[in-house]
Amino acid sequence: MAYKITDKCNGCDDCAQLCPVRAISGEMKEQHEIDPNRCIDCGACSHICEYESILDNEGKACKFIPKEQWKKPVVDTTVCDGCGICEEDCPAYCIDIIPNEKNPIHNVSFLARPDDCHGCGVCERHCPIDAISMK
Amino acid sequence: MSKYSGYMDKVAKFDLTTGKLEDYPWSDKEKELYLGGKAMAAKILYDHLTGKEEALSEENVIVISTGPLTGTGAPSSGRFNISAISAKTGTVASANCGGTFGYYLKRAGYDALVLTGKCPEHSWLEIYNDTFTLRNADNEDVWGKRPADAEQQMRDLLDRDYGCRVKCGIVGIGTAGEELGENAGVFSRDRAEGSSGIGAVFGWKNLKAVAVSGNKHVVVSNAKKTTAWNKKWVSYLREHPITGEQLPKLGALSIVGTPALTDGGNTAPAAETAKGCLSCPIKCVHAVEINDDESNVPEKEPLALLCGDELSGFPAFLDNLGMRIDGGSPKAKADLSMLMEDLFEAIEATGQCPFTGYAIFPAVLFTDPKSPITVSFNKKVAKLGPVLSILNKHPGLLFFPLSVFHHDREMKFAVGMKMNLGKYLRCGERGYALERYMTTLFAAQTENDGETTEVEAKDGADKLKKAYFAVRGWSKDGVPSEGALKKLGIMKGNQ
Repeated sequence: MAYKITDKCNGCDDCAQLCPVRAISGEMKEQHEIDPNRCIDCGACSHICEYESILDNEGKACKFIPKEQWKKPVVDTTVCDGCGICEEDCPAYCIDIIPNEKNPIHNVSFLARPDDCHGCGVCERHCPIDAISMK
Repeated sequence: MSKYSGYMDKVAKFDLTTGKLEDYPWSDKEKELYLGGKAMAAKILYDHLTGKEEALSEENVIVISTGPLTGTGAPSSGRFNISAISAKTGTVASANCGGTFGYYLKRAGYDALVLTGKCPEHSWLEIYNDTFTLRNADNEDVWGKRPADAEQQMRDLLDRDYGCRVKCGIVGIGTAGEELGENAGVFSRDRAEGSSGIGAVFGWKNLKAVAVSGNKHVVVSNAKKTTAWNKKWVSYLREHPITGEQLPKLGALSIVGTPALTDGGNTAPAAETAKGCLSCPIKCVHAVEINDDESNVPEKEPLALLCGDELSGFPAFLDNLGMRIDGGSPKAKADLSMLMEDLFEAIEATGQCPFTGYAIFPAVLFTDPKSPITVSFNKKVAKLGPVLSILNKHPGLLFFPLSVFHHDREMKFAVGMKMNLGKYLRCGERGYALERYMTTLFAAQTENDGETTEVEAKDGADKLKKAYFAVRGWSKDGVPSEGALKKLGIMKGNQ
C-alpha cells in the first residue's frame, strides 16, 4: 500500500522534488497526489512536509522533521556481510559496498554520500540481518 | 491466494508476436513439487513442448524463473534461471546466475515469465508491474550493441522516460545472440546465463533484452524468525572455510580444485577485487583489470568444460580438500553424485546459490586433515556407498533438522513451507528427472538418438556413467521412463 497526501497539502512541491521515483505530482499551490503504481513506500517524503499532510502506508500521519535532524544509517560492521541489498534498495544512491577493514576478504555496507541521504530508513527496514540502525 | 509467502503468486505468459499478456496458472501443489527456478522452468516447458519443436522457431518457449527465497533476503538468494530449447543441442537447456534480475522480477510482482512467439521487429521488452511494453531496439539504438553498452542505453532511456534514475534488472544478449551464434549467452550486468546458446533463441525471437522493475515487495511468512535465522546462517557461512574463506579469497574457480590456476588468486589483492551477487555474503567473483578494462576471472564452468566429465567433478573437489574417496566403487561414486546433484538442484530451485550447499560439510574436514574426525571420515567415506544408496532411495529418512543444513528452516520461516533435507533431495530428483526426460525427448529426434548431451566416455567414465544411470533408475541410455516420472509425482498440465 502506497503513501497518500491529504487535503492538508498546500502544494509547496517539496515532497515531489524529493521523491526519488517521481511518484508525486501536482500543480503548485494545489493538493499533490501520489501515484500508487510508482510509490515504493520508501518514506523519503514523510518527514519533509511541514503541513504533515502525508499518510504512511499504514495510514498514519507522518511527522515533520527538520532536515538537520534526519537520521542516518549506522552499520554494525561486526554483523553486516555486505550482501548489497541496502545499496540496491537505497533510493538516494548514497550507500556503497566496500571491503571490511577488519577482514578485507569480506565486504560491508558504507554510507558513502551522507549529504544525499533522505533518512528514509529503507536500508534499515530491508536489511535481512538487522545490521543497520537509523541514528 | 497461495498459502505460501516468498512467492509473488503470479506467473506472466507473454506472447511476443501479438503482445498478449495473460496469467499462467501455478498452483500451491506445483510450488511444493518443483519449488521454483530450474525445476519450475522444466515443468513449464514439459507442459508446452512435445519434443518436436525447433530451437529457432516460434514454438520455442523461453522461461525466466525465480525461486521462493529470491527477494526474501535469505543468504545467496539472488539467482534466477532461463530455460528454453537450446540452439546448440536442440534439446532443453537451462542456465542460471545471480545478479539482480530475479530480485526485480519479483518487485514487478512475478515469480516467472513465459515468453512465446517472436517479436515482429528487433525489440526490447520493458516491464513495470503489470505493464509490458515491446520497444523498438533499432530506433532506440539498443540492437547491435554489446550487452554492457545495450544495458546502459536502456537504463538511459528509462531514466529519461521516468525523469529519475530507475532501478531495474536487465537481461539481454550481445551481437553473438543477434547473429544466432550457437554458444551465445544471455547477460545481466556482469553475470551470465552462459550455457547452451539461449542467447541465440533470444536473437531469433528478435528480443534484445528484458528490463524489469516494479514497486511490489516480497513478504515473508515470519519476519522475526527469518531475520534471526538469516543472521545465524550468515555468521555460519562467514566462518566456514569454504564459503567464508576459500570462495571469497580465491573465487568460484577454486571450488573444482585447481591449485595451479587458483594459486594465481593468492598473488592478487583479493580485498580490492572480491565482488558478489545481490544478497550473497560469499563474494566469489574476482575482477581483474586487463588493458584498463575490468573483467571477471574465469569461473568454474569453462574449467568444467575443459575437464570434460562433470560426473567426477564433485569427487575431485573432495579429493583436493583431503577427503579421499578413490576407494569408492563406481556405484558409490554415482550415489554420491546423485545425492549432491539433487541437493544442489533443489537449492537452486529455491533461488539460492549451490555454494551454500558446500557448507553442509563440517568445517573441521577442511581445516584439520589430522583431526580424529577427518581421519575417521577419510577412512570410512569409501564404505559409505550403501548408506548413500539407501538415502537416495528413501530420502524421507532424512526428516530431522541438521545443524549444518540451514536451508530447510529458511524455507519454513520465510516461505512457510515445511521442509527437511529429505524433501530437498526429492524435489531435486524430481527437477533433474524431468529436465533429463525433456532432454532425451528432444534428443530422440536428432541423429544422435539420445546421446546428444553425453560427454564422450573416457578412462573408466563409461563404467561410472552406467552406474549413474542405474542409480538414478533410468534406462541404460539414460532415459527416465514415464512411469518413473509418475512415481515422482510429475504429471502433464496444471497440478
